[in-house]
Amino acid sequence: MIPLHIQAGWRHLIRHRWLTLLSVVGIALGVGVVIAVDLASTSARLALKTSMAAVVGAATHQILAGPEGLPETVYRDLRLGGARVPLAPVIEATVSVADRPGHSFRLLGVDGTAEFAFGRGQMGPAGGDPDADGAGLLGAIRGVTQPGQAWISAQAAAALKVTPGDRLVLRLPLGQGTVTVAGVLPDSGTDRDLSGLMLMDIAAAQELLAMPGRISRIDVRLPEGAAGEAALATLQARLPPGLRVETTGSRVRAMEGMTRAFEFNLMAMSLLALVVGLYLIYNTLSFAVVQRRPLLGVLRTVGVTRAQVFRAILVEALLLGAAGTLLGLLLGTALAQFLVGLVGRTINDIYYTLQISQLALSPWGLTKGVLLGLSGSVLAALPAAWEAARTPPRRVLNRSDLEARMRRLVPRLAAFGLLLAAVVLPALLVWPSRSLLPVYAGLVALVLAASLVVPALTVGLMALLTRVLPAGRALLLRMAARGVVRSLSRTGLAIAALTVALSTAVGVGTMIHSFRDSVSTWLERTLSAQIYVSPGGGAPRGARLPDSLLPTLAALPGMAEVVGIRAASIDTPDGPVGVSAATFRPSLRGALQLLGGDPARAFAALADAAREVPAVLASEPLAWHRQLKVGDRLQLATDRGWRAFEVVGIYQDFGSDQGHLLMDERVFLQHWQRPGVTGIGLYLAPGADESALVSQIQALATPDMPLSVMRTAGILAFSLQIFDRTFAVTGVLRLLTLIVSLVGVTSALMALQLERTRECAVLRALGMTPGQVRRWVTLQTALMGTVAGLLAVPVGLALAAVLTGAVNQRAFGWTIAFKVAPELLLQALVLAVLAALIAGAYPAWRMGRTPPALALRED
Amino acid sequence: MNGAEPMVRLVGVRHGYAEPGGWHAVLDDATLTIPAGEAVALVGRSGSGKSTLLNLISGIDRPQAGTVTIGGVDITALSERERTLLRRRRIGFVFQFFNLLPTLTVAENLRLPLQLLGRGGAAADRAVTELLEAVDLAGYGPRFPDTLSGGEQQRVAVARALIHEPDLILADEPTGNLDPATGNRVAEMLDRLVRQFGKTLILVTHSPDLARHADRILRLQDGRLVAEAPAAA
Repeated sequence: MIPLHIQAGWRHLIRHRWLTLLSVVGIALGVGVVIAVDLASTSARLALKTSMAAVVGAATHQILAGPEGLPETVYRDLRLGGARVPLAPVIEATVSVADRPGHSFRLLGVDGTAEFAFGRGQMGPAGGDPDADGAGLLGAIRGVTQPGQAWISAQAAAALKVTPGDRLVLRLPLGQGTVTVAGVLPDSGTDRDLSGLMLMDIAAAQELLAMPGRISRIDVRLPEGAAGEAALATLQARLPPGLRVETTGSRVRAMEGMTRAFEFNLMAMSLLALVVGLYLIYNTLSFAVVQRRPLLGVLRTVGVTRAQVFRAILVEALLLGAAGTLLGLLLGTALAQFLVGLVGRTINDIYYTLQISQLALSPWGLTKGVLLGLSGSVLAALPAAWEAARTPPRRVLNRSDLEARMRRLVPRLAAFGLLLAAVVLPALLVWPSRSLLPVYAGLVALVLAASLVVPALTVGLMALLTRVLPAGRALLLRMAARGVVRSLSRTGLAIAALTVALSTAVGVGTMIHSFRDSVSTWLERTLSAQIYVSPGGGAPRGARLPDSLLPTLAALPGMAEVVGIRAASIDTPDGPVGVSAATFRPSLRGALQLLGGDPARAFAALADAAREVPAVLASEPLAWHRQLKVGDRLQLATDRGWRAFEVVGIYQDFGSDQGHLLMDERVFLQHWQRPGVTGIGLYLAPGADESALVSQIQALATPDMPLSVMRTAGILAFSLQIFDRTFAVTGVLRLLTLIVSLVGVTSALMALQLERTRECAVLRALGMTPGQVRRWVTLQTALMGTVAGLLAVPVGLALAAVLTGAVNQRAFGWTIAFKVAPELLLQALVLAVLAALIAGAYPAWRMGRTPPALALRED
Repeated sequence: MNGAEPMVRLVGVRHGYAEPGGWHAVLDDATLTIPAGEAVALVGRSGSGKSTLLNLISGIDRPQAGTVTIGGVDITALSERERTLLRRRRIGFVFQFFNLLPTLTVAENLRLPLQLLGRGGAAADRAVTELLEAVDLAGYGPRFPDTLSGGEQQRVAVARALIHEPDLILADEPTGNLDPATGNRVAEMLDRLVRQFGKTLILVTHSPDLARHADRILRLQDGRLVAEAPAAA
């Protein structure tokens, strides 16, 4: 049987079910946000893994060259040379469907015979017999007689509304082409996702992609253990210079690593929502204890031990936590469906092409949420349980005792909070660590410090307010102000929860504002040309334009200078890096801001194509991630093997958080036989008609060469649009944190309402109308919101300083100029009062309805 | 108010509530007339309906049958808001548990009823000072209720009930939470001030000593009001 002293507690929660429900909702929101972010990130990682698994199959290694792949003769020579391990030539490219924005495929050209060893895309079991399984999909691929036949997944066929026999116009890395849907791929398994795959015969793919005689790579399946190592050594010895062997795992890891900082930041935001949720649990349980002080006092006097009281409170917390966590799991899963779209869009915008087709509901992900919810609830209840258990029976019966003790604690809490902030803030900004974890710990400490100062600030501001009010006037306001202070143990917590949510909003908002400002300034300087031309029509990432376009454009009237930019992803021993090459004429030099290295010497070295060690400029993030300084050397995979390049300068670049390299066009072409340009910058002669030129260039576009012609202002707007889209997830999380804190304020006010029922009744008995009572409560709520808003501004700015100065630097390697947006601060203040008023609307309505007869009732 | 009009008149008032065994009548055909300036003590067992009667007279509740007239106004015909405004103007309350507003100082507690009536300024300040002197609490104005003893708090409550010059004072066990000596002092003060200002008083009490201060004692018995005995003059 459940002991009566525990039953008494439960009944209290049931009697105050609205309050109980609010705290359950608070926990659910906190847990839900954490789970949703975790699920969305895990789903993105799983989508990457399964799509890579579909592409990689049973391959353990890959033979790679530069971005233009390798001659197919390498494969033939290896086979004929007696390689005893399974090998398969592969062509891989990202293509997109014309006129279907956002729909892209990873095109895979395979050899129908060699594929049997790899079981790629579930076309047959790895190591299957080509003759026995010849009638399957691979048989069909082997039997291809028509050019341009392609197999796509059933999901993709349904999404594109195509059936076998239909044609698809594709945007290719260079130009465009047409394929015929030959059939659908087998259903995706759980471990590999074929939905984004387009499969073709290798010869057909070569023809389509205009890669005669070349392949992207050779897949290799090596046995495990010593035999595998021996086979690898033999293989490496036989490779011609310029080629290298890499494990498939390292490729997947490199791609996973690209989004790590992004995911880490998301997780940190979601944990903030949980922190606010925990405030709520603490608030509810400490209120439940205060409300029950007479009950607890009686229980203690009749012989219930301190340990029993302590346990009873913790059991309640566990029950609330369990209910909230359960609800949070459902909420989190639903929210994840929405977040996964935003996360996927950001990954596609910034990192790589990825289609997240399903939510990865992993038992471990859900278990983490459950553990977080339950342990968080118990942890948040500890102070209340301790408070209830340690107070002697005589004092438990004294209702005002807690408030009196709270008031005594106020100066000590504030002093501790200020000390904590004084130590943590400078440490965060100057500590030379490269790790993000201590920074986030520091951020949480700052938030904690701020909440410790909340009660003192509340007391101070309310005292100031009552002092400036004319004597004997504004009694309602005076009552409201003193009421806030009188119930500081509850109002303080609600204000702290709101402060945390708002300061996070101010902090993250200011960080984003500073970031956006830096990016915008950088874009304005970098975009020095007047018109930019790039492959159009939804071209895939890395698509190029023919070199022949450059002289055509230069011949147009009014054209002063045409700069072709050649960009490619080049492998380094630490993963791929983006490289852009151009001729650095003075017009282009002015667009670069060097943060390291002497500009004159750097540009001279860059232009020196005969230099023994070719020169490159490294972007700030690349220098940060790889710890590069001016004078350091970096190995790049060229068409003729690894080659060292010297970093002659470090430049500011917000284009990629992974980092980027710049080099002279001639140096690039010496090392990579890669025709075509990825972008063209056009500098116009003074007085040239920009609009007329744009029309003329647009007229040059053909179906095989769609062009995107943008003016500088258009690119600026488009880039900032992508920037804003990237932070859409952050916006959603900020909103959720605010909602959690609104629940907190509502719950605190409902608690106050219960406590002040008699006070309300007296006011009503004295002749106050329900409207006046509501105004009194509303005034109190507005005051609470104002205090939270006032404190959120400095705390938010401190958080922003850390986020811009430390987090961005450590996560992405960017130096961002700190910039305060006054409208953001004003918005926070207005939002604080508004949020508090919304949260207080229901309690105010309830308090207005307090029957005056209660004033006449005995206690 | 018409001078001939009684301050309080109840005619055929019925009030009760449903309970599992049927209807429980708290007041059953209660009829009462209290002329202006009279002090009436209301006695009866716990649960006999004394507080219900006060709720009906003050307009906090509405009877299920019958009429309640305050100074000639049938408050059973008024809306909730009109009853609130009538209470604000014409009734002063003294509660058993003082019910001073803890967030207001003593002076502000007194000023509140005046402010609700839109009366402020120097006249209000003067009224506060005079009434605090009248209840022997001159100089207590800036103090908060929780720094006062029970007796002092109840004296503030008496002053608050009188400050806006209501016609009717309703006192619900005003000495119930005080020791006999303090209770006696508060009772004498209430009696003196009510008579001095010419107010009508309805006093709910268990205490025969307190009831003796009234002009008339009424007992609530089986839902009806029965005159007990003429009180001592």
